[in-house]
Amino acid sequence: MKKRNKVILTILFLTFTITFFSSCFVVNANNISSRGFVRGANTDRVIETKDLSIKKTKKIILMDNFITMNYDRQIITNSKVNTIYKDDELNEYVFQENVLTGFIKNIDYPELSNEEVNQASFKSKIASYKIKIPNYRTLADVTAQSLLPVGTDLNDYTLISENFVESYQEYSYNYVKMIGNYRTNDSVTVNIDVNGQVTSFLTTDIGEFDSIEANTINDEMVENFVNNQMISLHGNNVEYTIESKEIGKYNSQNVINVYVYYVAEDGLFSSEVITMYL
Amino acid sequence: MKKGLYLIVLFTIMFLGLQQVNASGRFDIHYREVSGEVSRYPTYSQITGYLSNMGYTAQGYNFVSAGTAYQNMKSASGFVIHMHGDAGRQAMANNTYLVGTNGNGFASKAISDMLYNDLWGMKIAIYYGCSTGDTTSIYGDIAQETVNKGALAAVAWKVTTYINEVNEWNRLFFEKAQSDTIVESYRHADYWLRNNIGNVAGDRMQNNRTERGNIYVKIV
Repeated sequence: MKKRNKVILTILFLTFTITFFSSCFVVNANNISSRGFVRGANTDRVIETKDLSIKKTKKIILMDNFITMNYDRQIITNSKVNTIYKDDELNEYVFQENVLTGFIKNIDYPELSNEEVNQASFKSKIASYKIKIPNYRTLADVTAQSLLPVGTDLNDYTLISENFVESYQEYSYNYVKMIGNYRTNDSVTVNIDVNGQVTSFLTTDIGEFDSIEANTINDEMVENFVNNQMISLHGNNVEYTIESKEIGKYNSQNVINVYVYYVAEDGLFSSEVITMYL
Repeated sequence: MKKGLYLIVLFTIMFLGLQQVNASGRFDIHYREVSGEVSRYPTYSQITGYLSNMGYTAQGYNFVSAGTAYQNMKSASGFVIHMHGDAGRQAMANNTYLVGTNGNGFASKAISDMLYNDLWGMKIAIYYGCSTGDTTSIYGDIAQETVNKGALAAVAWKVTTYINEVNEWNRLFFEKAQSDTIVESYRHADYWLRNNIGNVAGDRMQNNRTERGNIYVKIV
């Protein structure tokens, strides 16, 4: 009996050990394979990789703080290489050609129970934050201006949206450079928490479209291009609406992205982005 | 007697240990792959590795009817759907729909017609169809109805959604959700979408969500 128990215990112990460690290896293998792979044809604009030749550590001064950070990864989009560093607190810093273009503070939100989330006091607290959107606009302006290169004035940008993001309780201010009626991807976004701390910022394509003159964009030509594309994609009877137009980059060239929704064959709405080289 | 008890305790500990590292459920991911439209398949293919790391199996469905989705979601730990939509309703194959309320039991399946605990095993439901986050007097609030039937959280968008933006936001969301809470995953996806795809995409996906349930939890 004693011997049998020992055998059973040994078998159970071995089964547990093998299962546990083999599961760990599967998890690790997946982690490794998820780095450095190229996504499908429709999202080939985003490649995440790790370049071992990049400098391992970097030191910067940001908002009066001296920060040491370690290289983490690269994100290659359709026209930009973003090099990401992390500091000891896991805050992330984005660099393009050695220029700081982004920062996102690592925030660990407390886990809450359903009861806590459903309390009236929790909901009313969020509602009270919402009305304070204008309070932090000056801080957002100052931060946004400090992120722009010397000689670039925030007054050349339009504050296109200011929101309170209820889920993570941050005020989000988004400044965009316009060319005529066209929004561009030349932008600065600043997020600020309810205590007035900057929690993230991001600049995109700063100054990239300054050489484009508004009067060189022919609206009629753009709309004709969209019309031809929509007919070739969805047939002569396609019913569509242009929702918005934006000047951006694709393969390092200036383009107009036209956002269109249309009535699909099932009678419901679908969407399309028509990209036209400038 | 003592040894028998010892064996039971040991077996229980082992069982609990295995539960933590092995698959703990299934995520249903619905997409629509048709010629003439940009592929929604990455909504499924890009997150299978992340879900596996989290201990879930990923079940992809290419354009099935509402009845199939409705039945299967009752046993799913997560539900992601990226197909056509309009105000308050999520389109499925063969002109069928998932709606919040006022279904007809056939072409239109209402979440409100489920039993109160049918979705108790569900951690999150994500409806990416255009305008499914709008509440209407007929179809109700599909995200809220999903939470009412037991899902921890549900989210839908109140605007026209664009396929590439959804594919990438979805990937970023699950990249973070492997180790962090839903709210942290929203924040991560919003920020990096703006960097990776563009400012317009960032605004659209960040500022137009209908979020229901408890987002201050992990879905692992």
